[in-house]
Amino acid sequence: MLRLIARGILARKLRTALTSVAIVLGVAMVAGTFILTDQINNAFDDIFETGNSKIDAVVSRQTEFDSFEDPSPPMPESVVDDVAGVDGVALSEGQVSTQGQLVVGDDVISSQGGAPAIVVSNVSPEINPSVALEGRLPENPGEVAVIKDVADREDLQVGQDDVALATAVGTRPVELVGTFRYGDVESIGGATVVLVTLGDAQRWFDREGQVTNVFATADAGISENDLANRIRAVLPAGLEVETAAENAQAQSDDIAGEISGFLTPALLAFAGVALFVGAFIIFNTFSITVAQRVREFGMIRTLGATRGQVMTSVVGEALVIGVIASVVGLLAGVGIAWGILRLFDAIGFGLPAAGIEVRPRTIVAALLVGVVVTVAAVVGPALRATRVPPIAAVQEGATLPPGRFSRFTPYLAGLVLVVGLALLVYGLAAGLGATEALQVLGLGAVLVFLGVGGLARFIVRPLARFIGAPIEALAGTTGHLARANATRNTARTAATAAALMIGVGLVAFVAIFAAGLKDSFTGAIDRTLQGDLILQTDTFSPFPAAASGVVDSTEGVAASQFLRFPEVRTEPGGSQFLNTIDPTTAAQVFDFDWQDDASDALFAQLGTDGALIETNLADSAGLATGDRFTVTTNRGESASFTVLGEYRDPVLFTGITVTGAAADGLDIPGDPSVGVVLFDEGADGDAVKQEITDRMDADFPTVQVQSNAEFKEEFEGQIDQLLALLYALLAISLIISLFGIVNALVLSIYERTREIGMLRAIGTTRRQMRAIVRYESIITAVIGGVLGIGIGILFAWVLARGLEDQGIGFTLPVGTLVVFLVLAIVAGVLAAVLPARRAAKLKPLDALHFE
Amino acid sequence: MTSPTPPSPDGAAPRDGLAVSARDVTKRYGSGDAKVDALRGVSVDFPRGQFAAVMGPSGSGKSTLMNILAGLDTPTSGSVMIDGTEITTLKDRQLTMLRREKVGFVFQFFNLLPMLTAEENLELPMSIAGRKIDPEWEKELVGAVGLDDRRRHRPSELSGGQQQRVALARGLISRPAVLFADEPTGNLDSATSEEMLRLLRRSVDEFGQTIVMVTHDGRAAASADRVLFLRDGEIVEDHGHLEADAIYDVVKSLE
Repeated sequence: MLRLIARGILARKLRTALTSVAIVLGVAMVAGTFILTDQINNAFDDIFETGNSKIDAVVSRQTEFDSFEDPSPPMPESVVDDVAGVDGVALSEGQVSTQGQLVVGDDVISSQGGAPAIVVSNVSPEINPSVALEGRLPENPGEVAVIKDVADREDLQVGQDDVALATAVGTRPVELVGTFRYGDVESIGGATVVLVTLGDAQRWFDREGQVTNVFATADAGISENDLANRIRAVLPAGLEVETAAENAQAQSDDIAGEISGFLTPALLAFAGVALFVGAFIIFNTFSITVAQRVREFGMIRTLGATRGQVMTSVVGEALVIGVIASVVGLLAGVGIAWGILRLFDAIGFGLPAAGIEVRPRTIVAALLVGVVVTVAAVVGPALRATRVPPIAAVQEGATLPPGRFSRFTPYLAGLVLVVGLALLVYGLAAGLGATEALQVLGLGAVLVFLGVGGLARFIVRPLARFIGAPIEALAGTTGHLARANATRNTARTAATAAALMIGVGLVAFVAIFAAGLKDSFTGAIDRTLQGDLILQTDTFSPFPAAASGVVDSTEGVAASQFLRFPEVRTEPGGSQFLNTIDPTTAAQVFDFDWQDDASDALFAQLGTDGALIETNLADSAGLATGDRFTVTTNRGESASFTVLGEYRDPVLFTGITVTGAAADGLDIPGDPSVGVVLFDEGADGDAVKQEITDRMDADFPTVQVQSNAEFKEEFEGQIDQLLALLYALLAISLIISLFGIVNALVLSIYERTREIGMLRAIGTTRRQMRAIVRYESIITAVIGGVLGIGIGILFAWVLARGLEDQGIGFTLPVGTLVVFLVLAIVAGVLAAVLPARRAAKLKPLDALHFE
Repeated sequence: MTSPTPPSPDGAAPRDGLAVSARDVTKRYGSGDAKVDALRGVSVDFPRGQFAAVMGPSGSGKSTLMNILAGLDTPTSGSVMIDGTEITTLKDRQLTMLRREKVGFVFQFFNLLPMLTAEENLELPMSIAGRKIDPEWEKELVGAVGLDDRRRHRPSELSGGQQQRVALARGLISRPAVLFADEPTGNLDSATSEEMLRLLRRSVDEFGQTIVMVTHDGRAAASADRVLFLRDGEIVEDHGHLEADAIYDVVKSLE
């Protein structure tokens, strides 16, 4: 039996290779995901471990939760002395860590990808993880050093005289005295890291008399834990101490948590899609070949093979293919990991990566997934093979007996579809947590794909007629034959098209959803913001509060709003955004969509304990006008507010809106994230904009000054970048489904060899033969495209309905969908190249005498 | 043969006016010890309007000869002309064009396309060539093969005899210079075989069709105007019309 399996595979090398591709790519994505995330985790482990290798304990501000706007809140510098006074502490030193960007000439040096721009104060050599590579580390006021990879990337020279630092008090010229590495690494995930003296850091970044961390080393014979305990005893409330190891682990875990909590499952989801498509193709390929081998199965049954042995021979073949494909996929995973890293890099999410390591977990997962998916996909066809009776060996044109439950399949497929749709609705409407909701939606989507895939054969005929009509009109008989070929085995065409449908469905879905997202965001800007300019940084991180003064003193500015929106916790309500406004000009600059009898008059009544809340918060927390609720910040500050009124704006002003003064009372850092500027009536808009831009470039070069239209355009550009990333990840599934079309065509051509011989004999040219195959491929691909786009529209519509509260609308990007259809045609043409060549190469004589 | 004809290059007799003409055709498969001479220098002419049957035991080369005469296979040496055109030097595309114009086929296994109707199948040679169908001729053909009420049926809805009649009509639709029939009754029972042979005969008598038919069935050969016998790659006997009994005698004598 083993030999039979081996010979079967060897005899059909091309098919085996084409079939394997379906699994290789999916497995490669699984393996690549694990390899990549291990690389990233290892890189961060390395960074933080070496960073803390010379210290024993770290004191920092206790936080309720992590805050993007306020990542390292300060403490009084006196803590340094408190710690130094602890018995057993050898050295205690404070550090300021903050955000700020390097300016070279007129250019702001930005980090790669989403990495932060870090400014950190230098510490004593005994505890310093940074090591000078060229020049030295900063010692005197006005001196800075930059991390090696930024110096390399930006071609910075030590001693260069046009270097400055964008600080909270404006741009300050600095002297570049050296480059350095941090621990063992020359890059921290693409972040720009600038070392300055402690004094400069405090003076320039609003940290006078403050530090953000205190590092301590222990006297000989005192353990890290012991030291941490001793320090803990003297710390004032609101501060915490960690051992160096704990601190390194915590920092690394923060990042690892984000990776394993988001990146890993997201990439695995794409791998899952690829495997799902692969499973369709394996199923289809085996269905076709089992049907073609009916006589062979009948023959081995006459020779005494049991049904079990027939089953074994088919499943065994799948097992061998699964193992080979998984091993190849595992190796290809290394390439995929590299590819994904480059992809993220290309769209600006550079990630640090240590050397490649293939862990046992990766190997086990890749092999298991590849083999299980392959074998599971062939169970159906294998069962049908067992139903071939021995008599089939001697029957001319014996066909596969129908499966025992085949007459129930349409009902089953319909049921699966209905359950899938129900899950989609349930996932959106049931108010599940994000993870559960995504899982329910994912399962619903899989079932919808399976259901439609199972029912597709009933609409292949009308679809093919519709799609084939223009081809038949243009190409005549070759088109007619192609359409007839595409519909002669509707189950086969349906399964082939369904594989493509999955990829196209998801691509269409994200495209449509993104279009809705763009529309809802730009719509909200048009509706709510009455200003003429929008100010923000390219990383969306806060910019110096002093920038507001510069704007307000510009002639032609009628009013401005500098918004902070830190994350806070509310009771009731949970995690929310706290939007801060200036009540004096809010009515001019904003147009709130007031609910009930709320109005602009409320702005003046806000004071420091009044709040306006967005309807989603009002609904979910059960808050109404007059109710009181509590807000807690990341630094642990707390205050109560009274609800003065409700507005609806689920896009720009989600959560709570209070005055800037109220936020100040909560010790929320004053740096705004967004500025909105309203011009005087009759002011020369271009001139005012130019003036503000010039002033920002001079003092606060990280601030981007954009008109509303430019801002919207940039947002759309960012969405498009994200879309490009999703397209690239889904492209693997699409490529797999192309191989599925190639495979099905090659098998069909093999089956139709005699027909092709007849066609050639009666006067069909090679070119016509190729055209017949190409048109069939196009029809199949477009069926997949049409079904996919239909499902994509359905998914996007369901999701848009479910997220209506979040302000997400449903917009059909018709142009994009038409492009997808055209691409489906191109895909069909590409998939047909090899099969068409094979068909045209058949000699009429050989083909006629083919058994 | 009154029209002036240029002398052929080899100085042999002029071959104009013939539907098919072969000169010194050889076909060798393999080489060295493994070589097989399927045809060892066959020269034969088929005048227009003749119904010829080619007979011979298995391995005699009769199928090879037909394939070469029909331009489906190339000879190792020798010359083949169809309706005055030398075909052995033609490229694939030119050969295809020639088959469209001049050659019709009827196969043992019918070889109809299962997804097309009977009518679409019989029109296929014309539609694939992008040529206009003469509706009168099609009507006459459909009537002659008795498929008036089966035009919209698919092959799976037709009996074997009906399918072969569709195939015959398909072979004749382009009014080819020659119709090659490869064991046309090989897959039919005796009653439908008779019917098929009557139709072949009629197409010769009424439409002046030239037919070259390969068969091992003596009764089939008995409906032809001429019966050729091949053995070991050579034509060993060439008769006019023979009755079935006489054919069996020749077959027996050749064994």
